[in-house]
Amino acid sequence: MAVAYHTRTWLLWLAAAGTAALLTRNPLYLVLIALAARAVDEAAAAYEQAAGPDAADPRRHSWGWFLRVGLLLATVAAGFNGLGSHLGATVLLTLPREWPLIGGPLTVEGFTYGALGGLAVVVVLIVAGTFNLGADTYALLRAIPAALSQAGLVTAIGLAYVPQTITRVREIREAQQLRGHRFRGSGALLPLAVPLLAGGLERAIQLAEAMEARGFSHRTTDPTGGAAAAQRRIRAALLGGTGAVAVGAFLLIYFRQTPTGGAALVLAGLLGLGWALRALGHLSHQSRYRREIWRRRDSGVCVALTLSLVVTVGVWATRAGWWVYSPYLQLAWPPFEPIIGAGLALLAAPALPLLRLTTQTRRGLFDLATQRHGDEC
Amino acid sequence: MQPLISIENLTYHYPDAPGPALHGVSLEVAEGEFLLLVGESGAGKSTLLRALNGLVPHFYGGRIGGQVQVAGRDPTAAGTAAMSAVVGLVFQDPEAQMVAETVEDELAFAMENAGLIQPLMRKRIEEVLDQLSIAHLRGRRLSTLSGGERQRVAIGAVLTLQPRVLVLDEPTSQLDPQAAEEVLDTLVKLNQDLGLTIVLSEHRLERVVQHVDRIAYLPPAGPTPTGPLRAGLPADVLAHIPLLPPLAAVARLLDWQPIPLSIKQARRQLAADTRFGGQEPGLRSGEQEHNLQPATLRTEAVWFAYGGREALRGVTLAVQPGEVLALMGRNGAGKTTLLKLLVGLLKPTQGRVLVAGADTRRLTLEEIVRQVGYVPQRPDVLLFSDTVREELAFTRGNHSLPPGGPAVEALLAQLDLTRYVDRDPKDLSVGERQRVALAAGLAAEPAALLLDEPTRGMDYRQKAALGRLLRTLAAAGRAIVLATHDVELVAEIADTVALMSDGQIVVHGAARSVLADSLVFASQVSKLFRNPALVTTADVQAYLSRIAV
Repeated sequence: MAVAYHTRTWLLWLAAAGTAALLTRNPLYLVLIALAARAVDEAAAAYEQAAGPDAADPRRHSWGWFLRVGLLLATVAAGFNGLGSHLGATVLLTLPREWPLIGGPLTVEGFTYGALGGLAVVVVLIVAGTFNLGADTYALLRAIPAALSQAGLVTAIGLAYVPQTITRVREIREAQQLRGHRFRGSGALLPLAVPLLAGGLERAIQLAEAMEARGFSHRTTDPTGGAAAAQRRIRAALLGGTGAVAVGAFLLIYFRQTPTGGAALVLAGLLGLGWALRALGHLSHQSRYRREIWRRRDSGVCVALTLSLVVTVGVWATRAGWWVYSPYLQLAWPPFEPIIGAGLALLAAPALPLLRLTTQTRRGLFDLATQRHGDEC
Repeated sequence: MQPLISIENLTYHYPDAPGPALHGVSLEVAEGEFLLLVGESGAGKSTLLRALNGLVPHFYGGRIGGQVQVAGRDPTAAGTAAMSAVVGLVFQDPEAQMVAETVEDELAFAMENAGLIQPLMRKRIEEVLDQLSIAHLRGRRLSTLSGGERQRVAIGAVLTLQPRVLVLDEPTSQLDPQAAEEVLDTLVKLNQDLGLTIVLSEHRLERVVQHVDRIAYLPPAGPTPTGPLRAGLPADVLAHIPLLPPLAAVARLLDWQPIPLSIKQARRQLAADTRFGGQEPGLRSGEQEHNLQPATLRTEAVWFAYGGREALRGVTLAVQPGEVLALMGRNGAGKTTLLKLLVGLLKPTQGRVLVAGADTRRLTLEEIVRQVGYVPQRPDVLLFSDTVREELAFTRGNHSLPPGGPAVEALLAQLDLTRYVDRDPKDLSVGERQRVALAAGLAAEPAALLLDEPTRGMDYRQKAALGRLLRTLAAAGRAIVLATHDVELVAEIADTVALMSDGQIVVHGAARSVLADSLVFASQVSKLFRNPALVTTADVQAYLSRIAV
């Protein structure tokens, strides 16, 4: 499996692209973010392909699905807002006012606002999809603190079951159709749901058995002797930390004029929780096989992404209006600030080193397979 | 010498079960031994194997009695996690035991649980990759592996802890013959090169008997304690147990001693048997007669492609009423695609598929499935009702037929399901569920029946019962098409065979001729005699009766 970047690099990309996508409804910026995401996704796919057809992530076929869902959302949002909102100067037609909800003028601005809301959702989905396909989900979930490793592992296994479940749904649907069943109405889903659930449960039991046979329960801590005492301290720190955070937050909200005491309590609580998680991690028997490699290209890309994030947040903190666009009351061309454009263009930074690497591989100048081996360790 | 595994008077009850799954079982296994555990479905093989690493009783609960010792440790006292370093257990379904996304992560999982340091994990993974010859799979996603490759990775995933014993519960039952061969070759290598102790349970004895040191036969638990299992050299045990691979069955018919374990050994004994001195029988008259009735199913120069990839290329064949046609070939040869075209799930890109003379392009799926019943590979994807009777009523309701009636009662009786009509199908055994799935496919009284790998996971008795049933259905005038790798079943019941490769039919003809001609797609008996008249044990029995007269 070829992984283009370190998990932390992918997380930084998600933070930078996701923050920008959530801040604006300016279509120019949204399209720029989508183009950057597409460029990154294409480059990562080409990189995987160059590493060998078996290394390619089968989930890549889901890109089209993401787009279809997004377009459907945009259309629905445009329709709802256009029919429900009667603001705006450019009237398309006027429905009788006695019609509930939709009665009144239907405006270009109303439909545009709805469509922009939909576009924003599409772009967020594209960003999430690119991250999901680019980052190694298993590595991501295994990278969480040792104290939470059980939860991370269980989630990772659950995710690994998704493709199998999709295949199973198709098998069951076909088999029931071949008995003459027509999937119409909610009751008609029973022949699909029951075998799916029963089969899922059976496989879950088989998996649990297989995990147990490979010593999974060794991960749990040993509540004897010193470990039992440590567990008591950890439990106290977890309880105390949670309580301090809750009381501190309460003080911060209701006594805004004197925030020092509340902030100190929240900080102390967070420190307590952090210590408890760390101590829990030390109690765990587990070890980790994976050591992701931080490469030079990770450093370069992270510099660019940090810059992009700084621009995004900096503009929002100092010139929040630059991000804002609304078609109301009169539709106008959206504004474009070059500094925001430059910051968003940096989101495409991960694509550049990959394109160079892929080209080198295709020319046979660089053995990606060898590098892939390094990636995994 | 102290045995590595010692089981003494082991009795185990699953929670709420009316009787014991194991009753007073005793067995010993020496270090470095390759032991095959055989027994009918439901005899308790899986339970016995799970007792070796403590899954029984720790995972399942229930009551356990007697003594189990593996490498000096008691699994019941030590628990499963602690035993994972001593006993590596590999399960039937390669899909259901994978936890990671890639091969390397899967191999590391058990070692991470044991808290091994990273350099040691790397060293052991390299060793296992080499031992199992799967180094080329290292970076692959598990979802892209074949069944055989996955099962070898599953073996590797337990070997990384360097266990003293490798225990495998029917590891090839979900695999095609080629994949099964890969897995068994791996086990033989591990046993011979590393001296690893292996305990294996398996239904398809013909695949494995020549490789093992001993066979142990586990009878179903009865009211009296089972006692020490009948165990010994393969040829000795096969001379006495009821479960027999075809070659051993023929040897017992012919009184050959010792029972041959391979075709090579059997051929030597055949050469010395005067009853087969070059006067073997020819085909009986009438066996190659052509059926001139109009075909129930017909394909005419059918092509089909998934996206740009051609899956079928100019396939032409016909299935007459009363005919059993077997589609054989490697995985990916086009068998399942052809079945889907015959049942109307897919439409040809070129050519025609005719069901009872009508082009499937002009029929709706509902109209086609009224004529063609389909039984999928896994019966579980079909069964959802609370009782067997409701399951049949559901199919009939879909076709606007009354839920019950004499036809339904006759079908239930024919499939030996009358006593289960009020039982939940999900609570029945594999063979029984397969019969319920068959009944569900037949409830609409179709003229043709299609089955995809119907014998996967079945033992010899279940297979024989299914074979008899399909012959009865064919005798009643139904056209039957099987997509299968099971040459023994094909030898027993098929009239015609179509060998497929790369989307084309390579050979299509009378089953006996095709099986006797083929080196790969041939039954054990056929490989022995190389005579179209002698491809099954029943053929040999009939021949013996004739020469006795």
